[in-house]
Amino acid sequence: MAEKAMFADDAMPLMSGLYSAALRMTRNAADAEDLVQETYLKAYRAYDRFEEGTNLKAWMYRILTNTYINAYRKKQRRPDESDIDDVEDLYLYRRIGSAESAVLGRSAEDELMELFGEDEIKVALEDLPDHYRMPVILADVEGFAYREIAEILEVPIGTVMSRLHRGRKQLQKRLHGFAEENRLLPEPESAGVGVDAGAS
Amino acid sequence: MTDDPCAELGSGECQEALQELYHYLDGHLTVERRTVIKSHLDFCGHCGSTYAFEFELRQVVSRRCNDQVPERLRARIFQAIVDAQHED
Repeated sequence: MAEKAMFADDAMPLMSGLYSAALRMTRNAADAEDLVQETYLKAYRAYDRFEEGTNLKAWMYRILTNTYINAYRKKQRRPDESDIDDVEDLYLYRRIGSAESAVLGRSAEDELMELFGEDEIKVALEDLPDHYRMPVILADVEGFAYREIAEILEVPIGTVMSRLHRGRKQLQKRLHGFAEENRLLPEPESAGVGVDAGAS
Repeated sequence: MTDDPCAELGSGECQEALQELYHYLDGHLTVERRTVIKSHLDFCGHCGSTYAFEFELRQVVSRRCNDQVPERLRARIFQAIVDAQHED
């Protein structure tokens, strides 16, 4: 079992990932800060029951997501799952990627970075319903494996995979909407709708 | 298995490769399946650029979604842990 005296040394380095995930979950800086603090306090109190050498990062994210689900999600209305069914696979690539393969072939990452405003990817992610947003955050932002996500969210691996699949499609559809707006309106008025991270 | 994956373009191998795209990028394939897909991608430009796009998109999502922890939050949490230690 882990020693509580070591908690700060072990867990403090994980804070920036946890804070980013908390921002995407709560969608505002004040709630995200409270959520992260609550997560750290709960984790500290339980740290003597954490089995040393196992996955601390996954353990911390499990506390984060449970705390979020219990305390914050109640406030938020959850959109219906069925709204996602009509999105095809590889949505964004079929609309943007293949049309600009010459440009994308050179530097797809830079091209994509330019295509979306500073906060649009955050906003698109934050707009996903919880049950899709959480697996997408854990897989695509935090880099967890299916098995770890299944443990963190306490759902079967098959559920993780299907939610990831549908969540990613929905995310791509939303991003495509932004890309389209950005081209029609070179200086979108909607800039700055993202979360204020408070890091000025 | 055919020797020439391109012979299967638009059907069998491409379909399989695209179906397994997320599992591949997520590192969730067996070594055998991974090798099969990898060799298909080396030959098939269409699937190759589709994979590349999805990979780059994921990099961009991850880069754009990393927020700096406000210094005051870091300090606040450190202090909260210290306080909790005193209570123990």
